[in-house]
Amino acid sequence: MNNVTELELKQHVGKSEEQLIQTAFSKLKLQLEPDSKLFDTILLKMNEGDLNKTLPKSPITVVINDIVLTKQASASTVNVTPSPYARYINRFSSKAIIRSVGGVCVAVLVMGSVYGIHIYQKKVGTTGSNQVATDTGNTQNPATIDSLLTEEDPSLDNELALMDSDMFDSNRILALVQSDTASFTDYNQELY
Amino acid sequence: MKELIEKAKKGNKEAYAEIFRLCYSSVYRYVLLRVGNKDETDDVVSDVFLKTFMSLDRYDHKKSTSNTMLPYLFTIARNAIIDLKKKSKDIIVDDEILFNYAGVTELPTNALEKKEWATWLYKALTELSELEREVLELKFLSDLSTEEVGQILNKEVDAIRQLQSRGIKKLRDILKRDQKKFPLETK
Repeated sequence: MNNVTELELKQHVGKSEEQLIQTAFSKLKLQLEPDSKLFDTILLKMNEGDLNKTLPKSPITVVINDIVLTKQASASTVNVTPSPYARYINRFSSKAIIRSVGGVCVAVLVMGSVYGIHIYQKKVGTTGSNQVATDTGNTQNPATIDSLLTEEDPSLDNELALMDSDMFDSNRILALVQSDTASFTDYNQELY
Repeated sequence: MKELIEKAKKGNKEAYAEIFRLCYSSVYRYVLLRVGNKDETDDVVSDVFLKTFMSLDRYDHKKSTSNTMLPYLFTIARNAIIDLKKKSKDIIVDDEILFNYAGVTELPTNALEKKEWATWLYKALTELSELEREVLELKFLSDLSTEEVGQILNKEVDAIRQLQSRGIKKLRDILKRDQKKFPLETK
């Protein structure tokens, strides 16, 4: 607690009570202190401007409907058991939807807006029992994103790339991607 | 701070990083206490700073009564929390989760007797009105000035002073009440 607020407390309560309440505020404040991990992650995102470099250092693993996708944050390859739909949302507000567009397309959403897209070509090779996909790069260019989304499947909804945060409902997308039969078109129909 | 803000607005990442460093803990404590859930708090705090970072060009410091960016950041955080609570009705706001984060495994009813002051205050704050509680949290846990609190809550400075005064008096009464149950040496 800084000096100003200490003085203000003194104006309102008796000395002993002031000390106790001040102690309580100091103790509670200490207990609410954040760890440095989140700070470092946010700072990295701001400095690098490339989400690919700012994902957590531990391997990212997605398991949905028995689909397994693992990616080392710094690696350019992923081990993937291909599937029409899978999804990954990390805990730092970076949201990614992984889906099949010929290869495996990973749209990285930040705060509901598409931040970048990673395209993984599947069946490049094998490592153990996993197929290995190669990350062909990240793009943040809206035109390229649109092109990538429409190239393989014209029915894919470009609006996905243009969704703003108010339209982004992660719970509904989660429900959607957990179904192999659902489509993003269905999702958008639900929205409107 | 003004100079830092100007630099940050011109795209200087180091300047914004410095603002972030100065404001981070303060915003985090506020969000954690309001959300009561560490994962959701991480998301909100991350969103607040990244959103601000990406829209700095729209920030007009002349409209602020503060020398810092804190009122702006807290307003974004406050709105984000309101949105979160609207969207996630099942969001877990759980005392035990909050205190588990802080390494406390249970919320003792006799916190005062055990001199677990943080626990006592957390529970005592819940007996205040929402506004009194928020004013005290912003002032004494996030270290904001009365003017900054007024800007965030969209109230006059005098109104904030009254809320603060009432809140502290209530805390004193709660302390006296609890001390009767669990007498303490107050020296």
